[in-house]
Amino acid sequence: MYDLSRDWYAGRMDEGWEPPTAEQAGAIFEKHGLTGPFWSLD
Amino acid sequence: MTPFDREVRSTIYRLFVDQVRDVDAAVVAAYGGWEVEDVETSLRSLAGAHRLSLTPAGLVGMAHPFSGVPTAYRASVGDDWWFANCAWDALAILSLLGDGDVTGPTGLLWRTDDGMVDPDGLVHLVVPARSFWEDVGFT
Repeated sequence: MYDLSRDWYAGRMDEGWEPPTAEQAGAIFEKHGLTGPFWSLD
Repeated sequence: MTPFDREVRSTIYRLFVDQVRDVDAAVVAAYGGWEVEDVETSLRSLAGAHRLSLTPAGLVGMAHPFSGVPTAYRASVGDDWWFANCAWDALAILSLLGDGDVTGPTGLLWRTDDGMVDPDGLVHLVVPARSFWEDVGFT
């Protein structure tokens, strides 16, 4: 979860931060082994 | 999202990091030198865009991973500490601000050292990712 947090919240406090797109979020989840319908944003 | 919204949002994070509690439009406006009404409008816009959540009383309730209201989860780094929205968010605060401790309803949950979390633990998420914002307080 810590490593996921690092990626999920990267840049979150920056003024120019934008939420990840569904594709970007899916890539972050997949990088940390989180796959399947539960983690799908589509 | 206007440039002002972005500035307001950034200011809220600065306030949270500085451990300012009970952050509302008046607090943000005072910090930024803005009109309270302008900040209120911006906060509503930010909440509508899921950049943060507001309590019924107008406090910033969540600026993830920080919680603006007391919760059972805290992250601490040295003598500084913050409320988190959940166990995951408490770890996330440490990932943003440095090594420290996470405490929860049962006491100390984790300690991080150079990004390594000890002990191993389990975070149980019950809300599917696509529904995180449907009831973000429950999530």
